[in-house]
Amino acid sequence: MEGDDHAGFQRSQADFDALFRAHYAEIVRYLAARLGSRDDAADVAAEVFVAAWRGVPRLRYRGRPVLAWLYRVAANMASDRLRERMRQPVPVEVMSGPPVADVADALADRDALSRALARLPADQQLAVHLRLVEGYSFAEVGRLMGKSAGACQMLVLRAGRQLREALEREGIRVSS
Amino acid sequence: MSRADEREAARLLAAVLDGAEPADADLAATARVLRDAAAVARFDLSEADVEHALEQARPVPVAPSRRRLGVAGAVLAAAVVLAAAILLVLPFTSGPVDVDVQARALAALGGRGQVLGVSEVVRPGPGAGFPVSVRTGWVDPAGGRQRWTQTVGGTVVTETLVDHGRVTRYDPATGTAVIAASCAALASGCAEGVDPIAFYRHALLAAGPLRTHARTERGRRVYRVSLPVERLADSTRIVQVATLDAATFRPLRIEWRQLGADGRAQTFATIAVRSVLPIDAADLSPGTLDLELPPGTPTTQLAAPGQPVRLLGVRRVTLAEARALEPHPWWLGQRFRGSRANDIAVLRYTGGTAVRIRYGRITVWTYSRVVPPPLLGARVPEKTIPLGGGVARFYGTRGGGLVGERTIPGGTVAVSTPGNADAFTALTVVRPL
Repeated sequence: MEGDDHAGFQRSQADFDALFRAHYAEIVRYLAARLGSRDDAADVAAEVFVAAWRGVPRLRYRGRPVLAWLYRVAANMASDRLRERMRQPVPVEVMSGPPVADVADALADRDALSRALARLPADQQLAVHLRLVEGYSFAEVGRLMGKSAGACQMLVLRAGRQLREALEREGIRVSS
Repeated sequence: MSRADEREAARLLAAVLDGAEPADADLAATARVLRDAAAVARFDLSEADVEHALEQARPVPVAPSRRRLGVAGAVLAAAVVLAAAILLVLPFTSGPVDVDVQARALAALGGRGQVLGVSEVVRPGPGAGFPVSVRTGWVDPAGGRQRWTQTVGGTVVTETLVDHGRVTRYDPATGTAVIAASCAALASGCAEGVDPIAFYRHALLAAGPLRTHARTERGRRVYRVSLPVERLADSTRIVQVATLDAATFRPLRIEWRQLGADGRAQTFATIAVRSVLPIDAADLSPGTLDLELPPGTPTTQLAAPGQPVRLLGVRRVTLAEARALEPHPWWLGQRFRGSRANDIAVLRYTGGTAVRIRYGRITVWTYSRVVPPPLLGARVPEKTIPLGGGVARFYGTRGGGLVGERTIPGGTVAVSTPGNADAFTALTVVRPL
């Protein structure tokens, strides 16, 4: 993992462009899963890196890479954006149903998975994202999340169970 | 399961995710669903996208102060800089300026005596993959008429006319037509019976002042506004997020999103607006806003909406009795997805009848003049795809399921499913009883 020692940490503090190029895409992917929209994810990711530019030089090395701090800022901003959406006034009009779903089984499964992933608790979602989307080892996931590798494994286990339950509620059988 | 067992299960799952063979089917299924979820969430950004975003996000460098200035000089310089900054920057210190875009966005859609030539590409949201459809046509807000052609892969799937709310939908593949006194009478609701630009215009009118600021998106200055569409029974909300060109105030893109009660969003359709062209109605060729059905077109007239459809009675029938019904109900065979056709009923509503055949949680409906209330859909864009020489339409219902429907001689067959799966498959195998 880049920047996982003190020297790497200092390099990240000094070179905004390198920090951005190294981590922008994964922060956008993480935010897209949290927010359900790539456009919103790109907006918020830009804010994350502006905050990083302001805040990173003042960070003190505590044994964790700058990326951990970026994820924390991204998680907080995603929560703020979700709360902001909740406050948007919407007139009550017609009572009706859920979103249109996909047309083929496999596509429907993808849609259902995407929804189920977005509904996971934030820490489970982050653990799944880091381990399975970005491919970090559990040890690295632990460092990024400030938890033990075992605790992160537990988060992923619970996430997997919740995803299966969510799919089964939609009538989608998960086979091995 | 004890805490130690849980930890062991988590460790074993971690090993499977690292490449070990799963010890049992349960573990394998959990690993599979996690990998599938990750695959859904994984996408790449091009180097160009990253560089563009970096250009937008990169902070402006600040010149370092000169260390060798004396204290007095530094104070003086600072005072001068401060004064200049106050003079130059003060008018802009409030950040991006919010403007009300509602009136200008409405004005961009034409004025009195004008109609809009529209062309839109309807794309699925992330995670979906049904065919992209294209709508081209005309919207006459003052005259209350809309006329469009919808194509999928170059094949015309529907020709639609809306005349003061009355919807005529012609299906060229089957040579049949449906006429409804309002979009609400269509099972898939007003998403099918209203053009997206007309819907956007309606939402703009209802929205009131929309204060927002311009932003840069892919090198273009745009405004983005959120327009409420409806709130569902479970506090889920449907909104249109419209991206407008900051120079012309015309819509570039309209995203249909569902906002969950927890604030999370899901985009289920994106309408890329290829053109919105206001022109004088007088310049339009005669007949442009008409739909002439071929002579002899079998037409289904849907029951007038606005009159509540009441269930008058339910009669359970045997398979043999169902076979004798006219017109023939459609079904999925003796069994479907492991469930038998075990509950066949004729439902009598005000305005018409419907036949319902249940296969566990999957139900097949055959109806003609009246849409059974359980099938009434949300006002969100339906998905229309060619299917078996005809056209299938998919939409969500108020009860939380998914319905796929297709036109059949003399009416409609619809399959309702509790979740997302099975509707497409069922609609491909449904046949006359």
